[in-house]
Amino acid sequence: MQITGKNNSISEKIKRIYSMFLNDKLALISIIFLIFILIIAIFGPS
Amino acid sequence: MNLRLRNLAPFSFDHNMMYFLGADALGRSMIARLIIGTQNTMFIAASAVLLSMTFGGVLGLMSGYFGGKVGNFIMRLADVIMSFPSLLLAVIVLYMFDPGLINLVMVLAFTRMPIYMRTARAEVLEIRERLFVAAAVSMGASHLRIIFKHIAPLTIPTLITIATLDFAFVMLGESALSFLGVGIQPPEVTWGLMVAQGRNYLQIAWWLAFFPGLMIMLVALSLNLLSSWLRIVLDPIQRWRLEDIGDKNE
Repeated sequence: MQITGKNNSISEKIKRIYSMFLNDKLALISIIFLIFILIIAIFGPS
Repeated sequence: MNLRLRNLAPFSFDHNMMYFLGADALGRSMIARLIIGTQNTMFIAASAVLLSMTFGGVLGLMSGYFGGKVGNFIMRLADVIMSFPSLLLAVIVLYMFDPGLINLVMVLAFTRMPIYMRTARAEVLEIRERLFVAAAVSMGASHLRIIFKHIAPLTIPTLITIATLDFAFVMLGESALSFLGVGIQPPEVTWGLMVAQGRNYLQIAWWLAFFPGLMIMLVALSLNLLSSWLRIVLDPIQRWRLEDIGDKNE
């Protein structure tokens, strides 16, 4: 990312992804819901 | 399980919180069954998508890169798989063999493979003509290195976008198979099986089919919205649509 002059650290990448999620609220709600479902599936009682 | 609470209506605070969404015809908590159904449904869908993406992607990469007889053979294989209605094929296979978890995953993965094969091949046909591939060839890189080090990383974002969308399709396919009675068998439970079991009680206990159906709908909808977002994010030409406003907010 030297050409664009952007910092390429992990925290910067997370910030970028978060800002892209903020621009699409439906996708943000969807990912939160899917993470919730995944947590239930993985850590729920068996 | 509490036989006194058979077909208990939802949204009642008179009993344990586990019975908040009601109980089924045998007095089993709907919340508990939904959670176990989530585990089975997610496991089946995730495994099937992962398998079909891996094998379909690799076959598509090889088909596109090598072309010729190998490429044609792989594409004809994809045509043969696509020529059968996938649900019918799954019904026949599961009817002949044991309708267990592994067989269900294998059948669903097999029927979804052609999509990845064709997409990967189409991507490779374009990428293999680029200069960096020619440079790798001139440097003496092996075929495997060129395919997996230089070409595959450019096809993976497309395959991931398709996989997200396909996850919903596989989930719905599994639900349809369970609904038809050839998917997961009781006492195991999936959302599709819960809908099938609740069908007999629709007149007197609507919640038995409604809540698992709602879960299927919400997860499929979420996956579709997420894949739409991913499609834009992974496309360098369109990514600015999401980045622009995000930068203004900072």
